[in-house]
Amino acid sequence: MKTSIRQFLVSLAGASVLGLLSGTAAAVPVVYDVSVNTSVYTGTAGYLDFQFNPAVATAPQATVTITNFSPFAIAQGAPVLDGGAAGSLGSTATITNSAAFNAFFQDVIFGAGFSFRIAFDGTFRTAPSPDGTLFSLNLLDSSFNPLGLGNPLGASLLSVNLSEGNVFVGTNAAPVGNNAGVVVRGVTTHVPAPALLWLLAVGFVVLRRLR
Amino acid sequence: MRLSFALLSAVQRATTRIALATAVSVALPLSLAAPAVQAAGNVVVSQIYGGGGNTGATFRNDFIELFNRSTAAVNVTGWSVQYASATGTTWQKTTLSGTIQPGQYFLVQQAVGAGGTTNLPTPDVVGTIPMSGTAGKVALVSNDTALACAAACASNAAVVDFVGFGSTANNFEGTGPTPAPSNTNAVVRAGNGCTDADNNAADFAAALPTPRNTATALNVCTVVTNAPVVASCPASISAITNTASATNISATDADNLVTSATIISAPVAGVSLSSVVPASAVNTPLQAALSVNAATGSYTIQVQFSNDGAPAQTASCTITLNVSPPAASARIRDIQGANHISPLVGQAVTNVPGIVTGKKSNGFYMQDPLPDSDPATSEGIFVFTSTAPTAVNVGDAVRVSGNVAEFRAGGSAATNSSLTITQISAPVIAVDSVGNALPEPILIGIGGRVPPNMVIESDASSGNVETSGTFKPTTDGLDFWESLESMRIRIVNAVAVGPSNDFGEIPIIGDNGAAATLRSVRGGVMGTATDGNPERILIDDSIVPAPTIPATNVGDGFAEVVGIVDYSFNTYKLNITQPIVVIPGGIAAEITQPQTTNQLAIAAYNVENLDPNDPPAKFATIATQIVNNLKTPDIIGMTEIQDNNGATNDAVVDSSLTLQTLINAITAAGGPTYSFRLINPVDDQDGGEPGGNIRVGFLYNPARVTFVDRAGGTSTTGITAVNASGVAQLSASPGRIDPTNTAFNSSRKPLAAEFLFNGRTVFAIVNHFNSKGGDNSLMGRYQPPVRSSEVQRTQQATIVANFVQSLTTIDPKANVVVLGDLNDYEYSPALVILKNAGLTDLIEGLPANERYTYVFEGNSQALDHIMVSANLMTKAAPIYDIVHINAEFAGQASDHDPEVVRLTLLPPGIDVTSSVQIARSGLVLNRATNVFSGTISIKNTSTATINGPINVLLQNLSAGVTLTNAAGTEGGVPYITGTGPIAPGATLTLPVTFTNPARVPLNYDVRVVSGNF
Repeated sequence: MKTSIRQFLVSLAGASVLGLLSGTAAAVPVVYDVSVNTSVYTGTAGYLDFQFNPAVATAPQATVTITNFSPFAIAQGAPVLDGGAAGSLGSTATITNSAAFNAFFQDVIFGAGFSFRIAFDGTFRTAPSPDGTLFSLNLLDSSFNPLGLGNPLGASLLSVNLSEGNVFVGTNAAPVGNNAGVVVRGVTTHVPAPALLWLLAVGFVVLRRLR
Repeated sequence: MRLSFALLSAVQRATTRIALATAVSVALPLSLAAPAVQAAGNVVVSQIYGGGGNTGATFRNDFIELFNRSTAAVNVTGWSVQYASATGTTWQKTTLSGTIQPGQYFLVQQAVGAGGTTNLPTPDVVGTIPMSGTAGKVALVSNDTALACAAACASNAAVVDFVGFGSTANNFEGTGPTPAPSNTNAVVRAGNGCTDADNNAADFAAALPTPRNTATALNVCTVVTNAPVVASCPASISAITNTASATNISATDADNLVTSATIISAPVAGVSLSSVVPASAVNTPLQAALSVNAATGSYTIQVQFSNDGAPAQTASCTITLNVSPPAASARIRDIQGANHISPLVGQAVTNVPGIVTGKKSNGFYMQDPLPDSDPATSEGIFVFTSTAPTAVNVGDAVRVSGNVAEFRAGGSAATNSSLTITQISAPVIAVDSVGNALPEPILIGIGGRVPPNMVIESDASSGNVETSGTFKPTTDGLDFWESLESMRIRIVNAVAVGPSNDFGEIPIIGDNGAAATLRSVRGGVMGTATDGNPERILIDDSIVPAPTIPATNVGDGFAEVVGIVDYSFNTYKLNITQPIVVIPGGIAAEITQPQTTNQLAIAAYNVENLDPNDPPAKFATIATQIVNNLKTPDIIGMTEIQDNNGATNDAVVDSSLTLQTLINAITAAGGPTYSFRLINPVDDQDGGEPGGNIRVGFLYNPARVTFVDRAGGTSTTGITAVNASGVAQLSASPGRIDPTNTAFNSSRKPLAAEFLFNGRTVFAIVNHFNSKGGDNSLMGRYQPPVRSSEVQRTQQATIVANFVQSLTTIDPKANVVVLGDLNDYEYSPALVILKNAGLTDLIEGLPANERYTYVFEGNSQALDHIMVSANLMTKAAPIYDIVHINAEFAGQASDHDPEVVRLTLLPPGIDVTSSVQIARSGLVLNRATNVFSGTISIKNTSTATINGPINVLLQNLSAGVTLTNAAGTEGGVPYITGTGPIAPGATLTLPVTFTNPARVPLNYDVRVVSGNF
């Protein structure tokens, strides 16, 4: 699992994916658009495993909201919800870090890809703590083994660690053909820090070039 | 029958009594009538007349008539006829001259008398001897010297013929004198002179005198076949070996006297003629005895008989002499039987045959040269002579009579587990022959009889192999060797599995150890709980003269070993009968690695009754071993330290001189100056060599380790573990553990001591548990062996184990080392008790073929141990080494190998929690493994580098949650470890993984320690 900024940057450069970092402590949700290229798994049955677990129970409260999930048609049936998970990918899904294990678990038939928007909010932003909460996305096969898009087993496809009031984003997806496995793009809802702007610029360049 | 020519009825006298002229070689036809050939003959007195001139006599003169009855002329010139009265001893003679032709008479006229009317015919010689008319003695002598043989002249060598006439004549030939003559009768030889049976009584008759001279017509005696000497011997004689016997033989001759008998065949020791009685008359036998007292064998004896003929006739007979031992009442195999105890024990046996194969100081071995096909019954046996056997030699074929006995060395007490040797006692020994080839030795091993390699005895359900009723030499080791008891065997490619010792013994296995289950790493063979290695046998030097036993180390070899199977000192031996030559195996004394700065090296060394009376070389050797081979351990737990005057049995118990002598020797060898601590025993209370007061003690290097002295330890004061605010201490250091407990009667008391190394306390307990004395022998009659000594040892182990637990109860992290000569194996009950107290026997971390500190009768085994508490096992990375420098070598400073452990004990770590900032990431669950994973990041917020190792403790971890990647626990708290160091401002991130099956809220606190716990 790569959670540090340095690791993220390495991942970004080496895997041609877009990652974002928000270092702001403003009380504004941090929003990212994420697209995942699953073309290599088209037609495969599996699971989307969204988790949002704190380091310890005393970690600051946090919530992640998942919207704009598309195409919803890949979803097969009702999700399995653990801990602070609620809602539906067809509309809005939310996960809070209220329990030791918080997860939104959706069985799917993979297509060429899917995308969604995630927004992080909560007291973690106003009461920074070294005890973080980790948002993760993993694609699993029918035996619950991670589909890492070619990456090492056990590393999350997408991880976002909330710590010290910051949001650390990392991916572990290898390219799919000539395309990135995972593309994460920050959505500006406030004035980003210069570093974030630089990263966003890189991401846009990559996206633009891919198109 | 061989025919010869002789005079009718004549007997030829001994050649010494014949002076024949030239033989006449005229052939005669094989007829009784007219012989064509005259053989050489003799001259006899044919007529005697002493009545001449007496009243009533016709002739005026006495006369003696001679007659040549032979086939050759006889020149009698220089001869004489001599006369003596019937009982007289003075002889008168008349000298003769002339030649008498065959068949010719020769008249010798003698004295004239007054009476008579007729002169004799012309005499051939005239004499003047007045002879008696009724009795007297006349001799024809081959010289002219008057006889001086008095009244014993008939057999005189010069006498050609002799006639005693008249009943009073006191000398004659044969059975009596002639009939008495008279004034009118002469005595006249029968056959007109031809008859001569050397018997005056028969050969002569009284008759009118008829004097005949050389002019008388010849009377050639008729030629007849010469009757042969007829021998009478048995065709064969049977005799008992070396037992005197005699068989009568004889020979007769119808016309001569058989006078001698001689063995003419090759001489045979112990065969001779005796009691030879020559024939006294013609046709009477010569009688003799063939005396035999010979060795076993078949011999041809040829006896030749001779008569007194001229030439002498001979006859011989051939006798086949068969000398053989008498029938044995039992063969050796019958005595040995297929059992450990002879079926004939207590019974008398006679004439048991065997070849002597080897001699001892009190008897000898013999082996049947004609074995049967049953390998279960030995063909060898020991003959007990009590003193050195001088009557037999190797190679002798002997017969032994005596009593069958089973000798049990050490006595017949039921507590004696020794097996027996079957023997013949009170022997009566007969040597039948010498120089025999020895029975071929039986090959043991590949290509021959293969000994069992694991099972000593499998069927002693009764507990006693001698009474089990089952005997399985192919599968059970004891039965295998028993079936070869006292037999010659041969082992090729033998390898020594123990060193030669002062008793002249070397344990070996054959075929380069091909059959051994587990060889030691250095060429020995491992004795284990299930493998007593019955394929072993001990070379011994009991044969007289004692062979040279070369200095031999484990792994050395011998191309071939030949000897006789024996049993003594509770194990099977091979009494070698021919020299052995060592092929060096090349093992060298081991050298351990030196300890590093942060390693505490602790050794255990049994120095085998060390005292100042030992030669300085022993001190020097041990000192050199400590310096060069053990690399100067920081602490040495010593056993078998004796007092200052060693085995002198007095009140001295102090051993300071012993230890100081050793310390000085170590210093002289280039080592550090050790100090020592111990507690003297109470005199004569701790067992061991009488007077020696052996005890345990510590040497330590004060430059490396600190001895924590705590007062109060005495010989009889037991110490306790003291809780000093959660820290374990000894109530006294050094101190003895429960020294008055009966478990330590006649045994060494454990000695505990407290040391400081790198700021850490280490408790060391040195032991010398009671020995295995009193146990049943591994190769003894009781199977499986009863190890009675275990009772006391388990009691001792229990006391030590309880003491260790009293320390670890106070402080679970207590560093405790239990070491020394525990006199038992790693799998023994005593060791199990210690292990159950939380101690780890470090020897069990070695490969199975390296677990030995001692070699007993060829079995490599562990008697010495170093055991460590759990904290040392998990935290001190013990490196254990048995340093093989003694037990495998003929030249050894001690019978034990020392052992050493190096314990890494770093200074205690420092809590740096206040100097770091901790960040814990959120977690993600792997649904396949159900393990949560995340990270802990430690940022050095101080201005100083935090040294590694970095130990991160997760305190107060939520119940139900487990840190699955913990490096260990410290005080029950799991922790993870990073290498470090962490520079100021730098961050060390470590992964953490948890299981949380109940998904309980997760909480824990983090504490960071720089360095070791």
